[in-house]
Amino acid sequence: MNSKIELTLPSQFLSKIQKLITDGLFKELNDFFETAGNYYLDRHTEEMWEDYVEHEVKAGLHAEYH
Amino acid sequence: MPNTINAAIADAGPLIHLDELGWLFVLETFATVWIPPEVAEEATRHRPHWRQSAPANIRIEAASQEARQWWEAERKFVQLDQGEKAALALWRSHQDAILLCDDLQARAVAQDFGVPLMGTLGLILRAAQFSLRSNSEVRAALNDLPKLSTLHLKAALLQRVLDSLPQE
Repeated sequence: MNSKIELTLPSQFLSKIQKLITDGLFKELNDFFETAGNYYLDRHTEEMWEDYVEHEVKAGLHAEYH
Repeated sequence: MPNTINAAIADAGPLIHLDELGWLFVLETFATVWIPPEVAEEATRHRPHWRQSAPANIRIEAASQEARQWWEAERKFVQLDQGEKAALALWRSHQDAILLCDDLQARAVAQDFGVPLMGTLGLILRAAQFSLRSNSEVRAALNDLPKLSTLHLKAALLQRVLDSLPQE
């Protein structure tokens, strides 16, 4: 099932996306945002954020950086 | 003064997020913060006036061609942006430095190579460690993160960081 959303974007940003579509990298805006969203989700899993926070506390408060 | 690494190489994320909070001063806890030109440009795109708030220990330095080629040869740059690649390559020339980075992919690559790491959250906490700010001021800055910064963190994880701070 699909859901419809409405976005407000800076014009310059939208122009860059539209150029990618014109250049043939994406079929249309939906294709771009689905790809971008999945890219973000793949790079930011819950487990990765948990590790990030644990590491930051050790680094910031206990000078353990590895 | 805590026993700690004295130099840093910054990726754009922490520069942007600290500037959003007005907390770039925490970079003073390092003798030198090396920044590749690609990172400086990226930070300026997001925060045009960040250099005006940055401490005087910032040094812009490009990674050597040899360092870039070494990292490329390791095939570790898949999915990293130009700034992250440049920061990792610059670390080859400053291996006594810590990498300041919030990008989870770049951090994973850095950890594979044993590069010491810290991100925006660690830098904010570091202000307490170095007695630059009180724990309550650090707590306030952490609470400001969702409102003022583009570092997107789940509330439960932010609470975990807040809970790690000693009570005053």
